[in-house]
Formats: sequence, structure tokens, C-alpha cells
Amino acid sequence: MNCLLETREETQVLLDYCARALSAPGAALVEAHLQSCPRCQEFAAAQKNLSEALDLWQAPEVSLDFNRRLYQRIDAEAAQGSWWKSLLPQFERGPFQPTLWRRGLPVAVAACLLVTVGIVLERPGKSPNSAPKDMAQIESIQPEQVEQALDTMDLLSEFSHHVRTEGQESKL
Amino acid sequence: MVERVKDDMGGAAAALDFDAELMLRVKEGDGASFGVLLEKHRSSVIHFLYRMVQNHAVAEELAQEAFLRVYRSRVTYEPTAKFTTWLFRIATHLALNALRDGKNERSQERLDDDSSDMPVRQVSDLRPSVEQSMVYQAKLAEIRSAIAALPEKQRAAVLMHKYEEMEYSQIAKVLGCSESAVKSLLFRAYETLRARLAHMA
Repeated sequence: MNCLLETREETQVLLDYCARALSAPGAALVEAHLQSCPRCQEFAAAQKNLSEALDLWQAPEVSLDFNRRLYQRIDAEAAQGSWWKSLLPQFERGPFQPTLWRRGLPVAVAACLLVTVGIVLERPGKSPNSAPKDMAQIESIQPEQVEQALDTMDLLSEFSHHVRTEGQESKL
Repeated sequence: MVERVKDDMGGAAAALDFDAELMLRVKEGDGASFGVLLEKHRSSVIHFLYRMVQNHAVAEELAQEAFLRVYRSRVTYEPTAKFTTWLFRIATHLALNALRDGKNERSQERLDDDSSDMPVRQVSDLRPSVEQSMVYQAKLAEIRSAIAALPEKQRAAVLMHKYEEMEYSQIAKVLGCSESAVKSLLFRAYETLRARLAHMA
């Protein structure tokens, strides 16, 4: 048998031997090879040392309250879930029955659309009935201003009558 | 040469997995079966996660999340894979996410986290001396540092292969890659570790 370190596949076999993952006949074949191959012996020894070194690293014990904490979390989630589930039948009873929901949904959507259209049309800036500027000015004239204007008109008519009378007299 | 039992679960073969049977009982509302699964796999999951993130508190937190996800998934559970493959897939996913999210934050914790790594001596009259204890702690620090320095997937593969004694096919399913990819990951990881820890012989 050639040196097992020649190819990666055969090195893998040697690694499996070191990990005790080979069958008895397979392990026997590798052991026979190791007797005559110093390179493979060296590799196997290094891998064995590594394995022993890694064995030194023991994981700490599991906390005593690990299960309790986990079940607390499970119970908390279950309680949260049951709260939602308890609400669900309320919605599915009476007016909230699924069939009613299905029938009422298009009507509700249509109503919402109508309301939206109404709001858009009633916006003050876009209203077709909005008053023109001059009308607003008329609405803002006070009664005193009207009286003053009438008095002025009377004075003007008196003045014109007076001027006409004077003109006729001078002609005579 | 290598005789590995194929764990390709599917259809009727899944029925042979006792854990899958327990999980199916959990699906039917049997809470006690979940307790059995928890007792059976709790330590291996926590130990794997501890060696991945190298922090005991974080490892237990992640393990809680892993088992919680298993419990949450009970309703939709289908035994398409070996139960432990599924469980370790969840655990590995959580560990890799934790490493990516809080790598810098936890690096300091790792150094501070002694986590009672000193193994309990079985023989009462052979207490380790201070010197022995210091040598042991130094070796342990080197091992932890060498493992932590491995790329995430190599680390996960080595921990599952060495400490959980998983087969290549199962590691491949947990990591979502081919068996040959797992062999390659392990080959490179052990090569690196042999070089880094050669002086410990």
C-alpha cells in the first residue's frame, strides 16, 4: 500500500482511523500500513495528540434552572397566543361572522370611496361655488359709506342745477 | 472502507427515528414528549453552542431559543430529516448569527468567561496543584483560541465531528453542503489545529 498521505482521499481514511470511525477490517488494513510507513505513523501520532488536546476542553454543566426558564418562555408564549385566540371567536360571532364580512366588505369599500370623493370635491380651493372677488368687496361696504355716497350725489345734482340756472340768467 | 450508516431520512425510514416519533407526539399535543427530547439533547446542544460562541450564558440563551423554535414548529413538523440534524441546524444557524452580530462585543466576554472550565476530578486525593492548574488553564486557553480562530464553518464542522461524533452526512445536512465539502472543511480545520497545537504533545 502506498503512503496514505499521497492523496487527500487516503489521508481522509487515516483521519477516520484516528477518529475510530473505520470498520474493524478497515482499521486492520490501516494498522498494517502504519507498521511500514513512518510518515503515516507521524501523521497519526499528531492527530492523536490533537484529539487528546481537544478532549481537555470540557464544556461547563448546564444551569439547573435551564428547563424552568425554557418552560416559562413557552408558557408566556402560550398565554399570549391564547389571548389572541380568545378574541377570535368574538369576531366570528354575530355581526362579525365571516360570511357577513365577505358580503359587507364591497359595500364598505364603496362607501369609503364615496366619502373620499366627496371630501376631495368639497375642498375650499377647488369649489366651483366659490364667490368672486368683487362680490366680496361689495359685501364689505359699510352703510355709512352708502349714505356718504348718496349725499355726494345730492350735492352734485344741486350744483349742476345751480350752474344751469346761472347760465340761463346770464344769457337773458 | 468506511462504513457509515446513511441517515437519509424520508418516508418510512423516518419512522425509525425515535426522536422524530417523539416530535410527532409533541405535534399531537403531548408535552411530556417534548420534555423527553429536551432532556435527551439539551446538554449536547448547549455544549456545542458553548464551544461555538465560547460564552456559557450566551450558549444557554441560544439553546433556549433553539428549543423554543423546535416547540413553536411542532404544528408544522414533518419528519423529513433526522431530528438531531434539524435541531443542530437550528442551533448552528443561531450560533453563526450570534457570532456575526456580536463578534466584537463578545470577544472581551470570552476572555473573562472562565465558566468553570476546570474539569471535576474523580479521584479526591489527587487535587491539582497550583502549577498544574496554571498549565491546564494555559493549554485550555490555547485550545479555545485555536478553535475560535477557525473560520465559522470549519469550527462548526470540527465541533460536530469531534465532540458530537456526528457522521459526515449529518454534518453536511446541518451545514447545508455536500459530504465532500464537509470532508474538505474538516481536513483543513484539523490541519490548522495540528499546526497550532503541535507543541502541546
